[in-house]
Amino acid sequence: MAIFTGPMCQHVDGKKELTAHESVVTVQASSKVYIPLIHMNSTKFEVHVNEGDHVKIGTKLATRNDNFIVPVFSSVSGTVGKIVNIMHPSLRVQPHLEIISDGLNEEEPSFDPISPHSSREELITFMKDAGIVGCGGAGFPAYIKYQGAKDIHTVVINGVECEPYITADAVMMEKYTKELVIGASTMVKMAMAKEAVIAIKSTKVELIKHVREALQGVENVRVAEVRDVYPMGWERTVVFELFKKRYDRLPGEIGVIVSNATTAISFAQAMLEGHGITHKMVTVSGDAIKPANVWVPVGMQVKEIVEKLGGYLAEDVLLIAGGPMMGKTVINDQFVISSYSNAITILKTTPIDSVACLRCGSCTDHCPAGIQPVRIRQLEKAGDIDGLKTMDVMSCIECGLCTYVCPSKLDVTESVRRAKRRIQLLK
Amino acid sequence: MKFTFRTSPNYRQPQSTKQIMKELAFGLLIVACFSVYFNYTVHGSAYGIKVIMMLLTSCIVAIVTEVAWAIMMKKNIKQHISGSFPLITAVIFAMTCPIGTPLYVIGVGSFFAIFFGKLIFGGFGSNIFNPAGIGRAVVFAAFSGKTVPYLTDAAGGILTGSGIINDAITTVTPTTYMASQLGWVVEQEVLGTRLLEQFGGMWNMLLGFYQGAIGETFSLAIIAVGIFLAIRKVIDWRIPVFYVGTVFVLTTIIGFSHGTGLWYPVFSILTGGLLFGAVFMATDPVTNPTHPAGRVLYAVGCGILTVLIRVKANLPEGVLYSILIMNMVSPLIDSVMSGSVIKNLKKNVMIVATTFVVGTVVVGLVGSQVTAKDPRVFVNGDTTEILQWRANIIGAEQVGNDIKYTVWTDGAQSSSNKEKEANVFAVYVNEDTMSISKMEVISLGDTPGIAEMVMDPEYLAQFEGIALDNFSKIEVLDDVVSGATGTVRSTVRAAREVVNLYMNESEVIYEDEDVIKVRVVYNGYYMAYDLKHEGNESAIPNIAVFTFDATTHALIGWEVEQWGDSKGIDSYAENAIVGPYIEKGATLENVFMNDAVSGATFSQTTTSTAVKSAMLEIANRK
Repeated sequence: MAIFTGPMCQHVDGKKELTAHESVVTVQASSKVYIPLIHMNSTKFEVHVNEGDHVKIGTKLATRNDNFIVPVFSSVSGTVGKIVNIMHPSLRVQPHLEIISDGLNEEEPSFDPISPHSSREELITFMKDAGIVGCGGAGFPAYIKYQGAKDIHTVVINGVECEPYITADAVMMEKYTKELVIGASTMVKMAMAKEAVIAIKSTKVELIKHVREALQGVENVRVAEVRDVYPMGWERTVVFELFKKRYDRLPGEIGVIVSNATTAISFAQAMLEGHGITHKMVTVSGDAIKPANVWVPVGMQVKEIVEKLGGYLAEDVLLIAGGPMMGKTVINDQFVISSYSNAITILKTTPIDSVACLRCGSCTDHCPAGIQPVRIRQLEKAGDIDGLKTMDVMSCIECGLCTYVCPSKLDVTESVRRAKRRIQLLK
Repeated sequence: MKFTFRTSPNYRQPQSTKQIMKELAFGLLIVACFSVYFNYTVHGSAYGIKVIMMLLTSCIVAIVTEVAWAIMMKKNIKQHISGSFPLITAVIFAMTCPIGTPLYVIGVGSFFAIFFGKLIFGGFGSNIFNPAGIGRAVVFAAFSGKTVPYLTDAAGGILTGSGIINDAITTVTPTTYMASQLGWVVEQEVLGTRLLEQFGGMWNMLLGFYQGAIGETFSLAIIAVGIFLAIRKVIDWRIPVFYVGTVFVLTTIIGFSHGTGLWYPVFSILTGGLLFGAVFMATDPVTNPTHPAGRVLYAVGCGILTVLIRVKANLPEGVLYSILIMNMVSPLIDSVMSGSVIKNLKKNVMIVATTFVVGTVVVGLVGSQVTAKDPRVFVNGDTTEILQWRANIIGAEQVGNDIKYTVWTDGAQSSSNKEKEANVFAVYVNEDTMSISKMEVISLGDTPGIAEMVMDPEYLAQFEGIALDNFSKIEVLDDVVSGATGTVRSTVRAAREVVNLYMNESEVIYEDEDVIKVRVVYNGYYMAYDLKHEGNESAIPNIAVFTFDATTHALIGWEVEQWGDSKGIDSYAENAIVGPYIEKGATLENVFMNDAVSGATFSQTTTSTAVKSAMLEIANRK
């Protein structure tokens, strides 16, 4: 009934051609990397090494140790340095563990490989110990979903990658198709589901063909083409696209688990090769940098990557951790690539010529969460808390589509964010 | 090196409000070009120039108002105007006015549109009502007599480009015709056919080459522009589609309940500025609900109100007011539809569906209960009304097999004011078949705009074949001459007078070698009005005996046997008609002279016909 809801999505110019077919640039750490001792919002890490210890690629350095268990591994070989506070994409300085690289890149296995044919329980434990996190951007520990799996019929492997500019997932899927398939079919087993569906945008014709070839003879994994719209990569949108069903809080309610494609690949690599996430495929793109996909160690500072790519192409830039829609601008380039980073977007700063809201309702039409940004903005400006309470503000995922579509060039998303803060303060 | 901080997202689509307004202006410009082209080619340069002047006046006043406001409010003028989009409002407003609207009225309307319609509310984006709609409502309320669909010269006559009075210009638009004559409800199918023919048929209705507000008639162009704007996401397709759709459904129901065909809903959609309003006015996002389902509800509401106002209210049409009323409730629609679009989907769909169903049923019932306005002016061929007006046969000549009678008769103007010019028609009579064979217009004293119908050869053709002794056949005309104007009545009166000529009860009552006496029973004023008077229970006819010279057949005297009209008027008839005839020695050959008709009384003109009837009686007696 799109007549009464609006399309709830919008095709955006993905700018994927900038990096999709370029060869991957491998960047070696020059001297130091900084392993983040922060995962999502938590800094409760137990550090397993001491300053001066020698580590190799794969050495377990620390473990997040609260409600989630997430180990982190060294991405270079060298000497452990201090715990230092440096800039983080959360725009606060956060603790990072400094590793001084010896330039040798010696490796050691982090753990023993495991057969994909092991039992479900063994696999879930393995996934937890390998520190596999959701690589879609949020970094949610992957094992949690499978641990609590109940009445699941389908695992959706999310290869949609709807953020503009980013092609890291696509490149990973193309390079590691075998791992993708192994990861996906193992996840089916872990979720006790019937099949896995790899969701890829219908416009990625070559990739779809390539993955379909790799899937020949695999019974329980198939490719599903989805529309090239934003935010198709959001769990709710892709689930609705594939199953025409909505759910309240988690897709498990309607028998679906969603995992990112790179997560599946990382998991397969962990199973086959016995190492955690130590290196990341990161799309560095935008109009103020020479675009490329880079293969970099976790903990590498962004400024090193930018230098390797030839530096900034403008004096005044927006340096964005992630894609331009959901990624945050960071006010210096000291911050590092984390285990769940997938993109750095660097754009020239251009002035925004905004005019009054003409109440066109385009934001409401396109909001994938089905809320009404235009009205939330009005109520927020008026300070009408009671009004805001009726508007389902907390459903907002800050995908940014409302600001993207706004013809008056207003910061609609920011208004909704402020409204969310007002509601949160009430609790 | 500078790293700028901005909140996400940092990616925006290229379309901007300014771009939207540019494309909207482009769409309006296309319709405006049609208007200039139509008016220029069909009605002449004066009309084409007037359209341009109207648009310019509206735009200039709008900009001046905005500039004055910016100065008063100490705003940067350029910045203020570039974010206020006054030209869109100005053009939309001007295009809802008909061509005859004086430029000062356009100026006043444009000022009200911009100032009270928009700036007072806090400027672009804050206004509740469609500003152009406000301007139009002001003009509608204050200058309704000025908003005519034709141009007038200084003396009040209709100005046409070519200077020919019988031009294609009409003062009646399909909308005013439907509204004032038919009340938007039609029962006889034939009226619909008639109505469409009058305005050039369905194709011309689509094309829009007929009179109306200068921008509203070009249905095809508006639809095409609307589709373009909807695809470009300049306007929300839901509003025109649901608005027009609702009107279509409602008028189909009302049409079928009155036994009319599909032409009725189609006509309802094509006229009254519905398409223009639905595409350019109702879609004004500022005054719409923002919720998608809310916009559907808004459009459905506009549709229901439009039809309701049309069939029930004492207003010419409902588009303008339905939009303004729905503008007013837009914020309320939004608050009804607050919360999640998906979680409340069922509720919202129910609200829209219920509104649609209840509105359709209620308005459909109301519409089907409305009795169609009886467009008939005449009850039957003998109706008093036809005869009330003066008519005099002022010429007769043999044309082929026919006798062409030139009939001077009152029209819409001269019936109430004897100083005004009357109409002159030619009625051809075939004496072999004793029927009317042709009817022509010779000259019109009525304003040609009002007289438009009688210029139509198809209309005049309806007189052909009417037997002189069966003038009740005019009844057939009654159905057809829907909403007959004074001029239409005038044509019937002219034909009737020719019938009188043959059908007055004339009888030769005495004949010898010297004189022939003919008694004629004919209608006088009281008879025509069927008035009681002077103790009589009902009107009585005039009866006169006319005496003619037996050899020359010249009138030599008369004698009133019975006078049904006011006492003493017979002497007027004698002084003005019979006396001069006797003096001139009038015979059948020269009696049809251009009598001194202006200022004549009814009794005088009928007495004149009575004389002629008597002469015919002598000529035709065996």
